[in-house]
Amino acid sequence: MAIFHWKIQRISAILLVPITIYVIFYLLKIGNLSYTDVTNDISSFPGIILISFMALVLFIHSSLGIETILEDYIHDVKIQSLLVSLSKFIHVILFLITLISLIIIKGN
Amino acid sequence: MAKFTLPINSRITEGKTFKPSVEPKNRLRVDIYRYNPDLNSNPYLDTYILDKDKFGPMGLDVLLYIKNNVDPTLAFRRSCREGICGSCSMNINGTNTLACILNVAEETHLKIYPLPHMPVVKDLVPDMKDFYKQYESIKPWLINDSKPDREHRQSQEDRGKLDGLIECVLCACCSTSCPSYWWNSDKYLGPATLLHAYRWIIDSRDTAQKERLSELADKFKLFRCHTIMNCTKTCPKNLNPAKAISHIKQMLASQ
Ligand code: SF4
Ligand code: SF4
Ligand code: FES
Repeated sequence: MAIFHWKIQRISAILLVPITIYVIFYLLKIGNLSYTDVTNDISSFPGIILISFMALVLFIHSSLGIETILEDYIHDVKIQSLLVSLSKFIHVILFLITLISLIIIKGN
Repeated sequence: MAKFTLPINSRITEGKTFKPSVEPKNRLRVDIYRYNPDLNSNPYLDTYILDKDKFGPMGLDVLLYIKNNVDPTLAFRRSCREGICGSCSMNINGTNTLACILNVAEETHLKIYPLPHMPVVKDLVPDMKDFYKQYESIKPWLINDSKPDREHRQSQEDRGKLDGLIECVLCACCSTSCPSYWWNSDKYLGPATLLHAYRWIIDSRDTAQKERLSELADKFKLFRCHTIMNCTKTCPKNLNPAKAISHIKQMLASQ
């Protein structure tokens, strides 16, 4: 399990690099785009795939990272596992919010 | 919970200043952490003003001079005075090192503390009990049930793989410089022990590689190492525990 955790942390970090670069470039030119241009891009098929994939990788990476930090600094085993569960729950909620937002934008 | 301030009874207070009657020409000021369990008081910092012409160039020369000529109550460990026994590890001017192989001839001010984040027995003597227990836990001996007539043979190439590992003198400078070891020294094995674990894992004569690796596949024993690299930076024998640890992780990941 520890090895799996370590591997996924590294793979997700590497995957985030190209995605982040793409998003930065998109944000740089966003000033020239209209509101509908942007919502169209988001709700296009590649847009939906990219954003859901990015959210998935990002929240997995962040959840594993926060789990590591909690294990580092919280010595009490009970409080530690409680906080880790809480953090995982929040990450799932954040991912669901992303998906729901996509559906709402697509629906409009 | 990680602690960010010292407990009240560990806060360092001001101590005495030892000054020679005439101001020395070649002046060296040495501040040393003192703690005496019998005094029932906080640790304190004593200051010694010394004449560099009176002793040799190494950190240990300074300490021996103080103990022999200025203040016999000062406690520290030493034995070989040539970087081989690993006893004289301490923190000098902010870096963990072996006092006997640190040249301090050019310094004018030394600040000497025991190894960080260890329970202190007295002055510069830390309690190494748990550190040695962790070392013992990785079975630091050859595991091989076959009984050859003579020695277990090894090719020169396989023997070469042990270079950079067997030179470790178990001084604990690396482990006690590692922030991850500070926070979790009860569960994380630390760089020194892991370097030795790796030394046995890659020994061609050892037959327990699999068991050794699976013993380490634990989020606390091994994976508390976050590649901060303090260990490698501080090692007075110029070894690279961080590299050994990352090799263990790679071996586990590619199993
Ligand atoms: S690796 Fe270096 S610092 Fe660590 S115990 Fe061995 S000799 Fe000391
Ligand atoms: S690489 Fe860093 S975290 Fe790992 S053992 Fe060395 S100092 Fe500690
Ligand atoms: S006295 Fe032996 S290592 Fe310094």
